[in-house]
Amino acid sequence: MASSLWYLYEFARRKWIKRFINAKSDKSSYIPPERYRKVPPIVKYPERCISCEGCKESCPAFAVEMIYSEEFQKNIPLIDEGSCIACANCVEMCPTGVLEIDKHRIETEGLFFDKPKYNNLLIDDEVCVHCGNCERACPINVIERKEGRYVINMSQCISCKECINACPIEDAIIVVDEKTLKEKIEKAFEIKTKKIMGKLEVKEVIKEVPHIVDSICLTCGLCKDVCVGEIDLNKKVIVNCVKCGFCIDVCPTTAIRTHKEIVPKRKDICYMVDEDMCIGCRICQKVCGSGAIKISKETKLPYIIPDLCVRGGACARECPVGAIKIVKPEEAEKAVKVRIIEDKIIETIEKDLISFTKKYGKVKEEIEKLSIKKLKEELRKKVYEENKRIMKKKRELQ
Amino acid sequence: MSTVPIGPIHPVLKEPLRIKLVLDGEKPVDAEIEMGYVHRGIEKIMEGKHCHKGIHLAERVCGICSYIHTMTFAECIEHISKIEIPDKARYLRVITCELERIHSHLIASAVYNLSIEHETLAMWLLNVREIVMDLMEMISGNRINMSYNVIGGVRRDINREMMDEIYKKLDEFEEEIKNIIEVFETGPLIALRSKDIGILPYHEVMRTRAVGPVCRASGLPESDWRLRHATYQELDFKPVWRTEGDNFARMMVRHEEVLESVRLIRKALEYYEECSGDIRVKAEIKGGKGVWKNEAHRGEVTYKMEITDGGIIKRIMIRTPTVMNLEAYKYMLKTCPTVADAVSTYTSIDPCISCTERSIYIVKDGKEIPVGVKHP
Amino acid sequence: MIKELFRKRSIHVCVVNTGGCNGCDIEIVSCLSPRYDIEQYGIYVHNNPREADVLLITGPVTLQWAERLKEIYEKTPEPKVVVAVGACALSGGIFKEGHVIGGVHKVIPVDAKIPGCPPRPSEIIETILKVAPKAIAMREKLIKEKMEKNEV
Repeated sequence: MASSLWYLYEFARRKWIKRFINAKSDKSSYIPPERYRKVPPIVKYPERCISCEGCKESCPAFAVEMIYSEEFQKNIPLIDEGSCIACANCVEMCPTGVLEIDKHRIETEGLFFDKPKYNNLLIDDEVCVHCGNCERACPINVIERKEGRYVINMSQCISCKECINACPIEDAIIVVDEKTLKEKIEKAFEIKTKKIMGKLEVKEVIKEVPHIVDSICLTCGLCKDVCVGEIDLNKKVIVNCVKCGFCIDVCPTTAIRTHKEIVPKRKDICYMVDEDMCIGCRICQKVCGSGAIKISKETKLPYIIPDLCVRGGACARECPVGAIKIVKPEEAEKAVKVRIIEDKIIETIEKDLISFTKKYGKVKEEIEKLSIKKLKEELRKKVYEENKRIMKKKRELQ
Repeated sequence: MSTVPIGPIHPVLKEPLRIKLVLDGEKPVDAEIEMGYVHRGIEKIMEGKHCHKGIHLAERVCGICSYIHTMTFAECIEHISKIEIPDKARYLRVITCELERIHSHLIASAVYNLSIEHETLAMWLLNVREIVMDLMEMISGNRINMSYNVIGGVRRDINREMMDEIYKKLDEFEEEIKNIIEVFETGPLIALRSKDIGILPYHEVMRTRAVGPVCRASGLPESDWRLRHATYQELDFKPVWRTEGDNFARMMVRHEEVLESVRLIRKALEYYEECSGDIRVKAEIKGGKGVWKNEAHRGEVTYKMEITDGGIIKRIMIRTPTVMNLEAYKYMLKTCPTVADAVSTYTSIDPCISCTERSIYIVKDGKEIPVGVKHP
Repeated sequence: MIKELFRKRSIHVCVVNTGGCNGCDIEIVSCLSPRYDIEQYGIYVHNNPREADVLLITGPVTLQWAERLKEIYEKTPEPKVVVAVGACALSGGIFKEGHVIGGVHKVIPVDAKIPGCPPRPSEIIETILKVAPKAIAMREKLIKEKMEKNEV
């Protein structure tokens, strides 16, 4: 009883009653402050949207979906209220500033944000033909040409996949999504535990020693974890290989491989050089990355081989007079057939000529060698006979 | 001998957890703690994700100490890839972290007061806590789960008006919290229910490896990881500690840490005013392995990470303080005379169950089943 | 004693954490604070499902909770309202890929949903006030019917 009286006294002494009344009438608590992040973010400027799906990629809670809007004639993000966690990743991800969550976009504009994505895009340098289509297609200019090859800036890419649509070659831009990464990590973990326990069965599965493609390696080290031999990830080389094939299984980006072919996406069209318009500058031959353009020996003008062409279109773009045209593959083959046969004939003739001249030279040498010998012998004989005659005459004179 | 089950839903417990108390008459003798209700597999979800998505998952390891988790996560990656963050961001991190520490300690104290049937003090504490919540909402935009950290700095800057507001509100807060601490310290009823109850002696701290305020209340000030943090060293941090090791000492350590936090925030704000420049740097994340430790509100929290170039998380291990403190709870039971004291002792260690449960295996019918991750 | 007398006719709320991050639970605790003061509206927060009118459910339903949540739902007396609080309880939120069922509506019927991660205390109070009177009215009706039957 005494103690409760003491509390009552304390309560009165500290003017708590007044404070309590104030606390209940404190209306500011019901009005959220300026910075309060509303759920979900608002689509503030839908007319700016480029339908890149960057917001969808960056959402950790899978709350964003792209829905076609009749009003704007394009896909516009729709954010699920129930899943949104108000993390503001989508707001900072958006390259054109469509989304807004209180004043977050205005306050963080221009600050660096390492953009998280569900799908990561990487350019495979082994099959890339350096046509530059991806650089042109990128809406936010994050693909750059460095030391003769194209590289996607991984921290700024929004994974809109425009570059994949523009790329002429299949699987030249590799997509690594979270799901495969997770599965591969799981798989590598299983193999690693088996390896440590000593229960791993090592068989020779692959025929040749694989190599590491530097441009698409994430340096995740999964291959190093499962490798029975030795892999140097700093230099990106396989030092010691037993050909077990585990590293190929666990690599999430297929950066470890034995062989990969260049497969063009389209085979229904082909490029052809119009010889009436061509001025013979040979820019197209320098631009072509797949080695499909050759110079005709007969006309000294370039022509395109349809089997090697990847339909990248770099030659048509760079041609100063617009002499390279898109035609059907049969037509192109027909036109080029003559040139190919001509070139082949000329080449064979040249080859024959070279071999003939070589043989001729040999014969000549032999003839020369032989003749010199005979001459010498004849000379010797003549000299000898002459000497004899002179000796005879001397004796007769004496 | 009889057993009394407490939980998984109980008026005192904030989170689902089952405690089986073994009683001898009125006195609790032993406790069996059953966990596993809150397992979500956070570490498993994080694998293969970019770290800017992972940081939001780390935030939701625990709702009460959400900021310190993101801070440790970001500092671990900055440590691995050797990023130096600007001074402004460092002080802002300390300010927000300490504000959250105040809110966490106050809610721990309020729950303790509720468990010893002292509702008045609990209500006072909850009311005072609202001031801190307002400050946190003003700085970051959300009361809890603030998403304020990014790798390489913080998300948003504060301006002059906000700083004035923080100074003003801190003065108001300090005055009120000092009164409340005085009431707690001198209150005869509180002393009856909390002094000499649930004692954890010095030598048993070492054995149970208790951390945080539980450890510091038993006379181990060096367990505070803020002593090893560069920014806190700059701010001249001094740990709070006591030697009694009972419930009262644990709560008093928390209360005094609140005052220390207020001092740290004031000093950090002073330092912040002198700084200039950006709040975020361009951070290029390099791959590697690393460990980083920080002092969370309940003890040390450890992040062990392996990341790739470009910031994809390969493997992550999170160690949170509550497991060790729950182990210490069994030793505290020796000096609990009644079941009611056992409950109040349980709240005095400020357990956070959602922190603790992230194991990869689920045991079903005696078999260990590795849990795969499903995709939407 | 006085408290118990008055609390008898108030709206009883039971908080169930089905494996969330604690954030929503703390916001419900903040509702008790004098500033928001949930009790002035006649709402009494406690954790006993057998007396509850309103079940406040937070968190994505973890695999271990699925059966227990059904049990708790069955334990609650009949005129009952289920309110899902926070993004996790609505759809699984950020834990969709984890070891969770994802969303309370997959286990038990839900009457009201509060989005947000976590929602503000004022929003929680507003929702309970909108939903709960219905439940109370239904309970009164049931009591009346019983009384009439007894009289007959």
